[in-house]
Amino acid sequence: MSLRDRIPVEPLEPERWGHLEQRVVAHAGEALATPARRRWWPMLIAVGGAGAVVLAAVALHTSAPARPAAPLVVTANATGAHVELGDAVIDATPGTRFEVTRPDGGVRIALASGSVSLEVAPRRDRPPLWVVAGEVSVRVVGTAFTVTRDPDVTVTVAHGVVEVDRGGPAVAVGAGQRWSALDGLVAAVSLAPDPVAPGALATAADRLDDHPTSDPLALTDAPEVALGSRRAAAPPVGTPPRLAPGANTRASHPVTPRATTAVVKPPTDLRADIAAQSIPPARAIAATTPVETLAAYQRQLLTSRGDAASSALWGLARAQWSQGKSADAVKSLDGYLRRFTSGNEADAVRWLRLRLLCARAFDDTCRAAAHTYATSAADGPRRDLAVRTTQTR
Amino acid sequence: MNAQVAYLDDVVLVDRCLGRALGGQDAGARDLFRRYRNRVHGALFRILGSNADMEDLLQDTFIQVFASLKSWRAEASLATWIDRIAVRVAYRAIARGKARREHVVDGEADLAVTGTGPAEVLAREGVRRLYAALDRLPPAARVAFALHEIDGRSMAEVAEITSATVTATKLRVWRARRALEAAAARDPVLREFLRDNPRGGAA
Repeated sequence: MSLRDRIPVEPLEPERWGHLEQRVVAHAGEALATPARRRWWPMLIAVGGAGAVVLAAVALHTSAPARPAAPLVVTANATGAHVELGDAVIDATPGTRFEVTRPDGGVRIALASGSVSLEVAPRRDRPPLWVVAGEVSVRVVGTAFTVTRDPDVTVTVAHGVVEVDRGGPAVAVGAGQRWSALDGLVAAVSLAPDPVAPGALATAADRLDDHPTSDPLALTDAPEVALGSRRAAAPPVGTPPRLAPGANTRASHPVTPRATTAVVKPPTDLRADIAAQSIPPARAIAATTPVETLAAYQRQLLTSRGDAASSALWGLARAQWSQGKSADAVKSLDGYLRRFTSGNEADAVRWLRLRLLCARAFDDTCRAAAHTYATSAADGPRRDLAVRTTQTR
Repeated sequence: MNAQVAYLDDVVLVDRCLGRALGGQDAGARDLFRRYRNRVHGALFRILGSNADMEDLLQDTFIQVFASLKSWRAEASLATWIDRIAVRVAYRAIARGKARREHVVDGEADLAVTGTGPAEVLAREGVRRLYAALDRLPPAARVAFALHEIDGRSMAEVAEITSATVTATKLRVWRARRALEAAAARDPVLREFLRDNPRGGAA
């Protein structure tokens, strides 16, 4: 018999619990309003760290001349190009031209022409990696994908998710999907089995370790890279880019576009699956411009009650969403759920709220919204998606 | 309850307490209190050995929970996070000498073992002497021993709750066992109480 079994907890009487609960709840509001207490030691560490950085910077400045921030310009030769940046691997088709810079600690790949395939490690809190092809920007979270500019831009995603921005609301393109400048998000494409293991980037980094950066060729400031002669130039910040040995043979780590046939299959990416669910329409309202539409719904909301008011609030939220005002839409949806928990549009409201709150990341807020939806919705594909969302970590 | 569901319930519950979700802050605070009161009570009781001042200690714990709720980052489980706060409250109670006074001056109060038969009397006296012996330990060793040996938590969990390494936690528990063995060698009642409990240290 363990001590746990031999020393049971003496229960408190229900009246004592009752009194205690009253006291705790009475003080809870005050405690919750208390600003989070600041700890002094992180500040001390931050000040000390900043001082150390300043000292190190001064020491470096006085001991070595600053290296100019030169972009890496790549023109692939007849056999293509393979460039490793430490946290990304770029494979380019023959004749492709692109430029790599590192603004503000991120990575920007400007594609002038041709096609690049990228394998990018999850960036988490690091500044983003962008591929810019003319007016199209592709923001990368951590994925493998291909951008082609010939001259129209096509984005094909092998795994992970990217956001494509063409001057309007960003479009999430998930695994197995392709985005085209001509047609937008056109269809899922059949991809060959992904031969790139999840740890492929670690392997790439390991290969970098095999070739120390003391290689004078790797630290050249020359902005132009002649890939045929296996010379590389270093980006200005972070890990110097390296041409892998045998780059032109593409034997070390080929990441080639794998979209082959046009067999359409359902998207398997959760975010894409959520986005694929239709949003029920709102009751039509007489207005011609976006501003008038919002004003008309607001007027209707102020002058009506019951079902008409809930319908107006749903219309307002939906109009805000369709006009790209996601934050306003979420506020309206929250307001709807406060006022009309069982309203006619409650299911649609909870679903759109899930979709908006999960658009950026599957974080706690997103999972809480999914949980809210899953606990109130009837069985069906949307509820299944919500349950899957709650299981993301 | 499924761990994932419990985690999400905690997230929603914290959001309610902070006014970030529907349901009202007061109701959220009440629900949080009801969900975790028995867990906190159990931890405090097993560390301190009695219900003396328990309401004050529980109130202190939950007020600190609410005051710090904004800093909960949903990385650790809410239960473990609350356990850490409860353990800090217990540390302070030990430092103030509340528990010690309780056993020395009013040792019969609130002991969990009740009854009037010889076995119950012996058990009650054994519990009292066990906590009297624990009172003489450094607070860190006492807390580690109580959480591991009496509350039945794993070494890793105790280490996480007390913000210590697993190695340090094992060392603390081992020291507590050794001190209890020494106390049991001098105290036949404590020795008898611990005899059937090889992990308790006396046998």
